[in-house]
Amino acid sequence: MRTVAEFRIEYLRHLSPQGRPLEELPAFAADNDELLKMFAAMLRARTFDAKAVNLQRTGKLGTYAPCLGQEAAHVGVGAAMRPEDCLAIVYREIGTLFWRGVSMTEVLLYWGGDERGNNFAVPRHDFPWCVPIATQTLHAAGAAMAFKIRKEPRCAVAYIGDGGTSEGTFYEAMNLAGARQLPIVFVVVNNKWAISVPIEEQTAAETLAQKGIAAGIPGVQVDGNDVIAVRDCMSRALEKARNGGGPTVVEAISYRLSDHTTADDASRYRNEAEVAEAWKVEPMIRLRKLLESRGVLDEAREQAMKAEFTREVDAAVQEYLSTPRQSTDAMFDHLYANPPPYLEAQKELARRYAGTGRPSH
Amino acid sequence: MSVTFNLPDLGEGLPEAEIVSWHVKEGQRVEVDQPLLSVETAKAVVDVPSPYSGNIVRLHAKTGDTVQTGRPLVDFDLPSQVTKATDTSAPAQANQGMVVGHMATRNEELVDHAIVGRGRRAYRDRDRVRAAPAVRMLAKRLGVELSTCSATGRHGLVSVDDVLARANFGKSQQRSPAVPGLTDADKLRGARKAMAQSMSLSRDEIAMCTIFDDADIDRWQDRGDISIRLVRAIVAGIKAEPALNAWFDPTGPSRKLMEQMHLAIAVDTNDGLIVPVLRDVTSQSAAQLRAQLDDIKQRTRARTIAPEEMRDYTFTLSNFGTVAGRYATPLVVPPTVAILGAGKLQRDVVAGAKTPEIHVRLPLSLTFDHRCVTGGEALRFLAAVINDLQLPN
Repeated sequence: MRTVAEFRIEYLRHLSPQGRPLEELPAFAADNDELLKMFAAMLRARTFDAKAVNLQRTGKLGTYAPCLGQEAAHVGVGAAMRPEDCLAIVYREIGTLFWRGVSMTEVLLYWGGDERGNNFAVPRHDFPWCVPIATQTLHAAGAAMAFKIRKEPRCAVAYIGDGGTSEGTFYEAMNLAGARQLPIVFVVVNNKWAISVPIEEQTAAETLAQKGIAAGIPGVQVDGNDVIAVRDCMSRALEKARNGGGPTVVEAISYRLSDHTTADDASRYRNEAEVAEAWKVEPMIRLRKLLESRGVLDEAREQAMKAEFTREVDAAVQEYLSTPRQSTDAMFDHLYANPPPYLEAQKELARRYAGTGRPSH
Repeated sequence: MSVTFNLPDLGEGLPEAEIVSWHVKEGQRVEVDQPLLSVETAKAVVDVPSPYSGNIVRLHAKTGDTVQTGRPLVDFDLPSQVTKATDTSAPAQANQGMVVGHMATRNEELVDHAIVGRGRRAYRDRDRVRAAPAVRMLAKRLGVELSTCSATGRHGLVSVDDVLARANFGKSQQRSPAVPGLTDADKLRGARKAMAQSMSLSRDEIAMCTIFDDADIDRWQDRGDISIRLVRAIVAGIKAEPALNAWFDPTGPSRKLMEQMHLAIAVDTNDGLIVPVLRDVTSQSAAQLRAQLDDIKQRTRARTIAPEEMRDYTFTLSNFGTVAGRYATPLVVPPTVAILGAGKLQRDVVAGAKTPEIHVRLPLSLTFDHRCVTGGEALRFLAAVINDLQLPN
């Protein structure tokens, strides 16, 4: 017998967990302002994230999925994308959303159960939040197909989690993207835990990046806590896609330092030692150290940034809390141009039951 | 300004949380987002942060207490310019106490207790009404107690329609008068109001069935004391069929056969129907019964009878025939299961051995609750009553 196919998966990391450059950094990393901007974006996401959890704990927000520990993956992807590209998120990637211009108030509205939180003022062409696992990968593949047909130099980016890569939908989306050589990048944020299922139980594959191989898509692994590596890796994948080189699967390895959502208690299934180890390699530390070594960041500056973001978050919370409630109609109004009768019936039902406390019969 | 912080829903439709520990004391000043307490819900142990910057006036529950979602947790005294909707602004230094993602100073890790959580204890599922969160919310909004709703949904769930039915039922209790022009002065009081309520209850609950028959008392040797003979006959009936001297609880459903017999006697008064009780009728002689009956009737008409003398009866006799009327369908009042009505004595033409004869007969109407009493039991009871009544003395 002879070998007819082989594959290899490369792993990219630019900064050690302690902020030491491991090799020559990509060009953008020479620009301290650009790195500070990325650091600020991570800090901003983390500040917002903490407040959102507290809002849920005090009854002002519904269930919320924190992003703690994955800020580098999210900001790195956002920084590599162009505004005209199309993003399909899951429900945790606020670092990318904020980078692309989604407002904090919109994020709060979504988790507060308000449909207006799905209707981003900027960017208009991104997909809304997507809780049904993996379905967003097909939406993004569809958008990428449209870009290809229209010959627009735009790319689609689909997020998915480690658990989501077990879904059939993900394989369908990759198959379409591979077969049609679509301008799309699938970003698998491997945070090691699919709610309570650890990655070791999720798959027998050595990497999630290799899941693209069967669809004819190259895969690459990147340290998802290294924002420089993530941005570099994504930039290359997007550049290739934009130039007709086809799709890529990028696996960003990170760790979910938080519970899955505010309705979860990870201490019931995850040991503390593992979490403590993960805190040592969390993404803020290495970028902070690099910037400090370059003399462009110190504690006072970081505290000032933090204070500014706290004020911004508080203002967004006020705006969110003072936004008048929507009627229940909003749940139904954006699904179909011509709603089927059963949805009209449900809309009527919702009006009866969720109104002002006076049922209409 | 005083503000109460109620326990929020800390998961997705969680009804309650148990207090694991308090991190603050009454009288203490706290900053927004500072940890107040740790609670355990069905899903998680979580820290609840302070929604306000201000002074803690009162903690409504102790460690180990279970607090229902939406019930008061902490009373705050807030600086007057802070209002509920705008409490989230916080000076930068307030964030030193933030639970989640507080600023790491230098190279230490960001330790986050609220998110990572702590501890693990089994959730004790308590007996509680099963209903979807939306239904709970609807019930709360309508002020309907879920435990008072019937549960007609799948798997014993209380449905939206159950809540609405209950809400409308409650409304009909308090609806504006159907008859215009009525005032408070027209409202029923006392015995008449009690009758309205107990008869409504009877109508709503009892599966009533009435049997009619007559006791031929032509062979009575003297005129006889009809009331006392009726009491004696009912005692004989219960001896033959104890199932009619019982209390029934439909929520079990369960039934208790009563050892003693306390017989309620319906007495007509100007103020309405009053039903005093003859105690322990099985162990008394005819003379004793007559004395007791005279006593309670007299005191009933004088309205000096005490309320406790009208409670805890196990069977009812309505001797309505002293006025008029042959048969009736008397109503059983829960939790008793039967009532016997005696009509006006009749001189009936009956079939003799060869010729028609005229006999004095006592018309009887027995109503029983068919949820609890079988037709056979009722008929055997009635037969024993008639047999006893037809004895010459």
